[in-house]
Amino acid sequence: MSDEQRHVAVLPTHDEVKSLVESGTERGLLMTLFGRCRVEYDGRAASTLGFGDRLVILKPDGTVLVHTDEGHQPVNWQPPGCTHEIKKQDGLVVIESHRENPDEELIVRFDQVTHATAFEATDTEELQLHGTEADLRDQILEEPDLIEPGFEPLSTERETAAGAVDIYGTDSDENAVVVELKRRRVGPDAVSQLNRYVETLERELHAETTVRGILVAPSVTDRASELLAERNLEFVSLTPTN
Amino acid sequence: MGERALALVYDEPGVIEQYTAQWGGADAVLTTVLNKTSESADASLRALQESCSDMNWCYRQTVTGTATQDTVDYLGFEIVYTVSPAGVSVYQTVWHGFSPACPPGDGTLVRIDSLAEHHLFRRILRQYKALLHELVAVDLLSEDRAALLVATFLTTGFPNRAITARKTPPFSR
Repeated sequence: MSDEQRHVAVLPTHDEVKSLVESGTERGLLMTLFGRCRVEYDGRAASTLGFGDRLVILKPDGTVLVHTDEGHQPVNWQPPGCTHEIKKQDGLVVIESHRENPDEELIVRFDQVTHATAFEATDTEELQLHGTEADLRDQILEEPDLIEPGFEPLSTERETAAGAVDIYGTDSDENAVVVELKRRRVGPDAVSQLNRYVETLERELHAETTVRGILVAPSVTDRASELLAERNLEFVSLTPTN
Repeated sequence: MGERALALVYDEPGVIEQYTAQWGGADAVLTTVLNKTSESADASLRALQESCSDMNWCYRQTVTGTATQDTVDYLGFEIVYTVSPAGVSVYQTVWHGFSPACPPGDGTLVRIDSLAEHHLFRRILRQYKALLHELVAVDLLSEDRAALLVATFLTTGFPNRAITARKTPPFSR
């Protein structure tokens, strides 16, 4: 990594932090800021976190993560697709991250930045998961409550006109449930696939039968999440183990 | 999608027997088949049969007078094996659709020669489709136009590997 691709500032001034983040945002760099800050979130809920020492990560895809000195999950965050801008205000360095849909805003106000970096990160590798979808199926068959309490698997690889569904069962209200398994983070194609099985079963089963579709995967993309909601389909987060 | 696989068996010219396996596209199966593919036709077929011996390959249907790429359900299967006296070839499917309105038969087969290639193609295509999804979501691109871009990207970018279903405009004849 050359100096062109790397910028590190120790005890930077507010102007230096502003310049680094502006330049890094424009060039699509991965940035980290460590310092004393206050965090406010406003959107589907609202929260305030008073001043404390935290690590803030700004990713080129718009993700913002705020980490404290505890735990593996950020104390606050914004997902990919957000835009951020930086400014100086009332003696503080302020980073505003905005998400349009839904309307959400995360504001981080630093009164001191101890360390700031910006890197041009290259990472072409994909996380290799060792479990398979068959392992995921076995997990659910052994413990159906992983889907939801009252879920009862009736068959695997149940044939439909659109192909075999991974797991077919019923919920506690006797509704038919189609479970589609994915061992990786999934996008909209998986939602279209599940939707097809649900629509096919709705045609094939008794007219009064309600068919629910549940996608099981480690995680879904934002667009897939929106499509799931639009189509009244559901998601259960589960990672295969073997 | 997922790990569902479709095997297309060519016993005689113009006749394709289709078999399906729910987990036949798993990495372990692909690794075995792809490693044997370079040896001989018999070895790769044997590898496919042995890898899948504990899987329930189900006969699906027999189709005649149809090109390979036009017999595939691109939304339903992730991997397609073509089995002929010349050997076993492995393809990954790419569905062109951006919503359930797009037919499952609208897609492209991309030949893969290694598991690493499969992972790379899958990653690139997922990112490419994600980008197009964003444009479709904000009405900067129609779903039909986005589907065409996927097909064009594959056929022009990988002309020796990609075979697009002929029903896809402008690939229709």
